[in-house]
Amino acid sequence: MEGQAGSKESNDCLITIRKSDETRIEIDSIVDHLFHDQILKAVEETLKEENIENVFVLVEDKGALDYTIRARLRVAINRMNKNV
Amino acid sequence: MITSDSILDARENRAKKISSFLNNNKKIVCIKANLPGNNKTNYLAHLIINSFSLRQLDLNIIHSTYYESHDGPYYLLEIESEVLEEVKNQMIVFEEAFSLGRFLDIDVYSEVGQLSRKSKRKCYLCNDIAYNCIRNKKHTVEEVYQFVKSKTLDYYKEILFNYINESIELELNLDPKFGLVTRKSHGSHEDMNYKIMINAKNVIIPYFIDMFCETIRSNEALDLILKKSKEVGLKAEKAMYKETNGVNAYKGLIFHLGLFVTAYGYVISRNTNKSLLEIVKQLAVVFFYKKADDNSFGSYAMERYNITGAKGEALSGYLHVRSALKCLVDFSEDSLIKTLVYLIIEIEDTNLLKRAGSLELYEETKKRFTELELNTQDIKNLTNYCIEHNLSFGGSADLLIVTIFIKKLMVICDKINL
Repeated sequence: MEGQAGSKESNDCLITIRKSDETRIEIDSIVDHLFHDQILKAVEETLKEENIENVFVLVEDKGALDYTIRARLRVAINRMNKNV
Repeated sequence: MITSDSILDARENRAKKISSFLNNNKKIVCIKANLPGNNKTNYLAHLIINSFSLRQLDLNIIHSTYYESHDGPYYLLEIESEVLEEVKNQMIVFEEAFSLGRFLDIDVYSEVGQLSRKSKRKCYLCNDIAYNCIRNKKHTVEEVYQFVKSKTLDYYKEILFNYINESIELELNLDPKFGLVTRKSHGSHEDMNYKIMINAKNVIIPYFIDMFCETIRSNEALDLILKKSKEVGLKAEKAMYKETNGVNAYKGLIFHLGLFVTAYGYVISRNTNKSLLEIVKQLAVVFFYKKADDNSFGSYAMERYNITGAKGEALSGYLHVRSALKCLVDFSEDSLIKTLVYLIIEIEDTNLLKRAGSLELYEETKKRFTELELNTQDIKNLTNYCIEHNLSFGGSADLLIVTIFIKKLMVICDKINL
């Protein structure tokens, strides 16, 4: 029911995703004050591309680029689906 | 093949490795190169991770392991420490004080996770916080990469220039010195003087740096790397003879230091667990693979007396330099003279053989050194004897310079392994 991918190294992020009643995204980023919206957008778009709804996503970000956030999220989704 | 995904996988694997250590209540320091772009495993990443010795970190290291991954080479150190915050601060100081420290990521982990720095790191190129520049793509990857490359190469060029220059000068300034050229005397060398040696030194040093740069950039096998270094070495010889009007000041040194500088460049710029001395030995084997057909005195000495000189020393993997490093406890005059005398006694010096003219006088001279008491008067007396009999020890002097150079290099390099 839960999937996790990534790390808390600098320029990376750790993403945790699990099934939920509604979609909720929580972002904990060292650059939150500047890039919250960009990170949120990357997560929302990726969820949409993968047709995923009703999940809780936690992004613990250490300055990852969008590419990394998207890749980490995709792997986390796969791991969650395998864990069902 | 290295892809963005395989870099991310490598990072995840490293994080897993670290957390398995932490589960066993270990305290971990992770050190990696911080290189922009998708190629994290190239020569530059290796040059950065190998630019310092773990001893310089001044940590209480219980165990250190070096890894190669698609995210680049890195160290995991298991350390002993009461206060990890102090370790973190110490590592921040190192990152900031060491010339290439900004290209290193040194992370400290306790059971509760990673200790983070309070002040965010600055961008390499501008004064902004690095995360801002990375996220906003303020600079191109190429721009940042070129910056890291030029700083890294500058660091190595400066280190090599200084170490080689200081090593040659320490030997040259040693006085009195058994018929070798010094600041005060041309010793047994009618055709040489201090000025000529200094000029020759200045002319040859840039060629060693060229050899190093050619080696680190090359992806070739050892024999082709050596071929290139040999070409540069021949140019160095030519330039030296031009500068000295045909006097052989440092031909032997060009050979020896050339092998060491090439081996150094090789072991620190690629994925190899070979030590510098292992590579030096391999280079020497390749160098002498074809029978020497030159008419040097070294070849003659080999044939006539089975005295192998510089060639034998190199092929042995510099056994006597290894032992000489134990004599050379510091760079004081006492220690330098003691090491030179050790080398004179132990090595086969074809320069001495040539000047002695016979094996009898060669052996007798060496015997005088085994009986030498290392006090000022006796050193002076033996020096006078050497000058009277026109004896000198070029081969030993070359190896003293090599020994000093290696001793200096050991401060910043963990790949020497005596």
